[in-house]
Amino acid sequence: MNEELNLPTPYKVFKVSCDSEPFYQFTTKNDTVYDVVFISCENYFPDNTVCKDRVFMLNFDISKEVVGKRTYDANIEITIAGIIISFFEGVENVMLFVCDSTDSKQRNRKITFNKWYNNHKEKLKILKIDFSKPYYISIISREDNQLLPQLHELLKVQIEEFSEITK
Amino acid sequence: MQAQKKIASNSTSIIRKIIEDKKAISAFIRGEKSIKDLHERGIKFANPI
Repeated sequence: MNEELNLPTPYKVFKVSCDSEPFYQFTTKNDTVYDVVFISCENYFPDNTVCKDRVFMLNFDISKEVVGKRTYDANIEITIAGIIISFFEGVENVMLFVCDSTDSKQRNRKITFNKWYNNHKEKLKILKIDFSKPYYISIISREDNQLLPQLHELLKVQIEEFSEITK
Repeated sequence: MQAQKKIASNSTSIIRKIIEDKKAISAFIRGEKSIKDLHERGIKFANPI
């Protein structure tokens, strides 16, 4: 059964599950359905007991849409921002945002997400650290999160070494 | 030297895994992959809200 979250967002957000795996979902005025999925990052930092339980990868995309009805809708951005605000009520939560590169539209995704971030960052009191090469990866946390410098260094080293190796 | 190679190898695999996992999750949302496919990659859903 889908459980409605009490978020102050223009679109109602529901917690749903598929084979007992939880994620979030909302439907726009055009009947477009968005899925928002958080993934545990514990596999990426198995040796770091502090980071591994507090870092989550955010994913969201359209899961269902009516052909020909896609239009600009500011309420999508506000609803996603509302979900992110709720996520950061967990003081120590850290978000990893990776731009999907499957269809080579990763740069467009980065630009859109940056625009959304800039629209809401002051209200959220969060910080974002971006890596652009070889992939668009961002770490986002509350300004008062003590884990951020540690995670930044951890990911920076990994990305620099990866970039060196794959040159 | 061996230790350096091991660290480099870990870095490659972690970043590559993050990127490949991202592709798999996007495919799941689009209905092109199943939960089982994600489980096979070791992907664990979370409920942080």
